[in-house]
Amino acid sequence: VIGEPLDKKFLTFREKGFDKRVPALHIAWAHRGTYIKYIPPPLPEEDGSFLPGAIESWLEQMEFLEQDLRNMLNLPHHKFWSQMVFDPAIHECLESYIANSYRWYEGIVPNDHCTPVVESVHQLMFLIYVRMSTYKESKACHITPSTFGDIIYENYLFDICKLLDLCILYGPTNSPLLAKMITNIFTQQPKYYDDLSQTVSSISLALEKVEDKLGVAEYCVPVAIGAPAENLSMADLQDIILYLLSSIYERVIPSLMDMLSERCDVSEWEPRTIQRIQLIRSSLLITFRAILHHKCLAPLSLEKPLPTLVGECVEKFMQVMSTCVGEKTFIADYCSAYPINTDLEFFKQHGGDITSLSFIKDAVNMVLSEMGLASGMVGLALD
Amino acid sequence: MAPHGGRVTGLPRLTSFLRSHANVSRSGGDEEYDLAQVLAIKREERNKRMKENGITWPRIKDQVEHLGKHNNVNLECYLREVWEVARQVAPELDTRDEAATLLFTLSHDRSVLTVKQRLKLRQMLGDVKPLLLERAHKAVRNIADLVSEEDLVELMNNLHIPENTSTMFGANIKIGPLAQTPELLPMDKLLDLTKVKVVSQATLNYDDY
Repeated sequence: VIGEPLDKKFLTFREKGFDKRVPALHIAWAHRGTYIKYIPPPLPEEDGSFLPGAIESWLEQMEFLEQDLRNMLNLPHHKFWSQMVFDPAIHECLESYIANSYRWYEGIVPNDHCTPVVESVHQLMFLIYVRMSTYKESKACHITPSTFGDIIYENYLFDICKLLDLCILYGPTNSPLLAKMITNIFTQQPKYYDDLSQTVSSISLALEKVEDKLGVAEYCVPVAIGAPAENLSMADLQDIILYLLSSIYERVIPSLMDMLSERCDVSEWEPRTIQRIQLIRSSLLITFRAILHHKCLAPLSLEKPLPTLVGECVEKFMQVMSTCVGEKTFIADYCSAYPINTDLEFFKQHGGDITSLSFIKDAVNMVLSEMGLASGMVGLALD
Repeated sequence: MAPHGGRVTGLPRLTSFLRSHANVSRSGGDEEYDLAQVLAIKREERNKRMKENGITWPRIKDQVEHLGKHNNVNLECYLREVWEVARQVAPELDTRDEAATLLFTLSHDRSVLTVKQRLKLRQMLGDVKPLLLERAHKAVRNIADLVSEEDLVELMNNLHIPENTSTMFGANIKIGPLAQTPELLPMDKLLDLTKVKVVSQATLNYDDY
């Protein structure tokens, strides 16, 4: 790197004929901006027409928004960071996009005139967040990493909700860059891990509300749910995660399917509704697989993993699978998509002792057989 | 992190719920957002920017007249026509210059006004009668025919002062398009929940079986 970091640098500016020396990260470099808040493009009425002036009005708002975003990206390093830290209004503008823009799973296609503008705003917004997650923009423009971690956390430049929104919006098509951003944020500011844990318990609360609505909440609720967030141990958190799995997969989804069946014949179901339920199932399975792979299988991809590491991975795998095997719908789906035999074979190839896993395999086979899925399974890719 | 303050948007989003309940987001944001007021400020900023960028009606008029003289043609009547349309669509003197500038700028390099341009004009000038737009467009096209479109485009390019010559952050970062539905697991591999009834919890109620 060249020169001092932003947080230690001082710059001079002229005011009323006098030179003033102020820190490079200072309110003097920011201005109180007025910003348009993002709203999604207008949707057509039932007859396919738009309310008069709706598209024009939206396009004008977006033109102003785009201009502001470009201005932000054009700002020199010290002005950009001063603006981000000392102008709360810009964050309301940025958040309005990540919170309110259409999600890919909503399947909403904007009007032809709006689509290029949506694309442009989408990209500019992401670039602003990329810039905010970068402590070293160039050799000369950098921030002390630990100070960067404090700046983004203390000023709420990123919080868990924003990170979740960014993941859903940019994950499918910008995964490598997004992963780099998130790694950077969590590495420089470990407090985000605590916030993430707290968020997990709030997600449980959200799901409890869904269960209440569906009338399926009378079954087991882990003790951890009622405990204050700060008292949650790692084991409590694991309980909550499993509760989510059990809650959504075992109770919420089947209950939704039942309710749909009660209301009309399967042949009359709206395809989009079914597609969305299937999307939830598929996403949960893929996410579960990604976590399991990351914790239990990926560590063994080293050229020659130590036997202790192999043992630890087998142990973790057994713990997770033995807890999940009781969730019949889930385990049937999961093991149909990712056959357990493939994983056991993988452990074996790496010198793992899989004797302890044989009862898991038997239990899984029993569930599959009960569900009529035991034979003819073809495995998907390992990861 | 500080408690939030209970903002929940109307859309059914998990993060909206979390922003209200998880205490991991910024509190506040309660300042009233008046779109009309924000738009007024932004429009004023745009006018200022347009003036600072050098494209104003007096400058266009002056340069086009100069170009006409160079080509031995009198363009005054056409410029007057554009101004007349601007007078009709923008009765206030303050916005008339802007209207004339916009009509000229959007028409000088196009033989036909596209839908996008018409939208842009409506966006800035309101609901203008198509006939008036055609009138202004035709006048500008007559100018282009008389002095050559190439010269007119060059003239307009010279009038424009680039706003920012610095390299924008991220100019070299390739961003993927809007997300589409990612690849899902083949559904035929999963249980058909319309047929399978899973009894995942034990119960003593005989009727449940």
